[in-house]
Amino acid sequence: MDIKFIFKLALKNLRFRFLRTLLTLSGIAIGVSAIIFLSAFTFGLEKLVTNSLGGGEAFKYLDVGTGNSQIVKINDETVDKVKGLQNVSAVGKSVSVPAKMSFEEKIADVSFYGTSAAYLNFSETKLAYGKTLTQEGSGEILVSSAVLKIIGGLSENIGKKIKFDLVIPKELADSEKELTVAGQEFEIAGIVSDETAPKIYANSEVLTNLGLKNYSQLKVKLLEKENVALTRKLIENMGLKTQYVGDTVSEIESVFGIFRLILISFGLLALVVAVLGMFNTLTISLMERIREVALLKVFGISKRDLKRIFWVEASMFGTLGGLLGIFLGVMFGAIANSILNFYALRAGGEQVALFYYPIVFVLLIFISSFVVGFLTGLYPARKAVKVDVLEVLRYE
Amino acid sequence: MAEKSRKKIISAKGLVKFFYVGQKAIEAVRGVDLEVFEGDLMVIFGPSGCGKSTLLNILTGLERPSQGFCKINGKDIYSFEQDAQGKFRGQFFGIIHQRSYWVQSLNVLQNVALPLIVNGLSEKVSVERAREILEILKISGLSYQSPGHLSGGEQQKASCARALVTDPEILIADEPTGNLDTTSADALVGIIESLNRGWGKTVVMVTHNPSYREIGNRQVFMRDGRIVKEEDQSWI
Repeated sequence: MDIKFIFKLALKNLRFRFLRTLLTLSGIAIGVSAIIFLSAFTFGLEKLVTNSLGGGEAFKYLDVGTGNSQIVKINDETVDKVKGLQNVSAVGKSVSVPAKMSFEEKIADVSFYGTSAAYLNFSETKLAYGKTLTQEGSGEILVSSAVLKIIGGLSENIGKKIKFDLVIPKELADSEKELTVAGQEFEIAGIVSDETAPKIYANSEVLTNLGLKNYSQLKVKLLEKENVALTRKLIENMGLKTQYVGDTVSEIESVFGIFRLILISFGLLALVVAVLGMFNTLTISLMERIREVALLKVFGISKRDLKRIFWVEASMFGTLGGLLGIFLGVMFGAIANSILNFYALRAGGEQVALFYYPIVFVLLIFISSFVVGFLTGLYPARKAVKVDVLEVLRYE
Repeated sequence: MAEKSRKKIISAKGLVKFFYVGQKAIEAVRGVDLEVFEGDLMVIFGPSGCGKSTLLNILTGLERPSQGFCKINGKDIYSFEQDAQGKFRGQFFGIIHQRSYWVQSLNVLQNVALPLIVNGLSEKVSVERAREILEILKISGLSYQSPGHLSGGEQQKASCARALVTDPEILIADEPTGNLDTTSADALVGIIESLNRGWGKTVVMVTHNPSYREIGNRQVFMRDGRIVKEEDQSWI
């Protein structure tokens, strides 16, 4: 029997019982749309969180520290060793010491970072005004915008000078006691967007010139993120500790995976009810069309063709329901996103995409709808083949 | 003498069919011998429940006999595997039932074409052939109507067209006028008769209506599952 005709017949049968078809399709569509909507929400949230960690570029960086070790130090020799490793493109160093800031009449405690332009660049530190640190500018500093709250003003502070009393802890100076250096004056070269705490960034040479020997942290830029495991192992073999954004992302993914599973289960419940509805529709449809089935058997329809009629019809339910469900899921997602963004914007937040539809996931849902539809048609198809023509004709 | 010169299409011998109702066996057909020749218009006549329809079902491969054999064109239809038996039936027999059955989602034209489509022909060719048959039977006006909307007489005419669309060797009509008013019944019997007389189509018709008995060149009388009398006017 011509497969094109089987498709045509299936479509005509669906159209012939339009209201029932519509109700059955709606059931499947609601189940599928619930899964799409809920999972897209978790995918969207996961993406937002992952992106906030630095997006794709963040996977090219390794944070290196000493952990709680008092023995392992990060000094220039360590930096050179790390730089010499395969797959390492650049190394940025950073150390933080406590300092007292004096500006005009104002005095405050701040964190004084000895770092480099490379490190700031790797950390995606955002410069609001002025220019970043240069190798030559040893008398220049960057201040966080939180510092401006203390000293007042905005970009007009660029070029102004601030005095610091610096304390270099003994473990960073490799000395018997901490080093205190008073009255160090620096010129503000730029302002960094960071409201969290008053921070000062200067070239690390400023601190090494004052007796600093060790750094607290390195940021290692990798050539290829694929070889991160090997590079980490080599660094950790030096006794150092590493942190990688991928670890955090994996944790986030597993947390969201569980969250998604819970939400999808709700959607699945709706889908199971819909599938039972579809099964019911197909079984009732067989009972209603039992005379048609008997007729086709009198005409000599093969078992395979008879099964195909029911398979195609059931698969159409699944496929059309799946398509409709995906469309509805995306539409509901767009509406929910607009509503949430409307309130977020009104509250002074940023516009974000809360729903994300990975194409592979959507395809998987679509294929699953088709498969579920097909499987639902197996039983009525088998029953149709077993229809006793004479039973039907005698009954009539 | 006449029988020897004509091709034997159906040959049945010693047909017995019993059904069980609980433990009790009820014999619907009791030792029937029957031969149908090419060009016959055989009317099987008898009261309701005498086993006429069961006999037809055995002849068309729908009901396996409890005893005896039935050969169609020399082939034992019950030796075929289910699909092959169905295909053979679909090509060899055109069947008109007492009541018309339809695929409700298809129109009359598509329904008439259905036996050809089921047997593997393309929809286009099948529909063309169906259109021709509907024109020959002068009911092409019904082509695009839903079969459920037709009168009983129209349905049986369309059913007749569907039975003929495969150009079967033999047309089987099982109480075709059973649900029709006299006018529609006469018209349908007229068509069946003309198919035999004009086209030479072999017909086996079952009826309990005595007024249609006379159209058969062979009249078979059944009672209580047996053939009690046969009148053969083929020689005329």
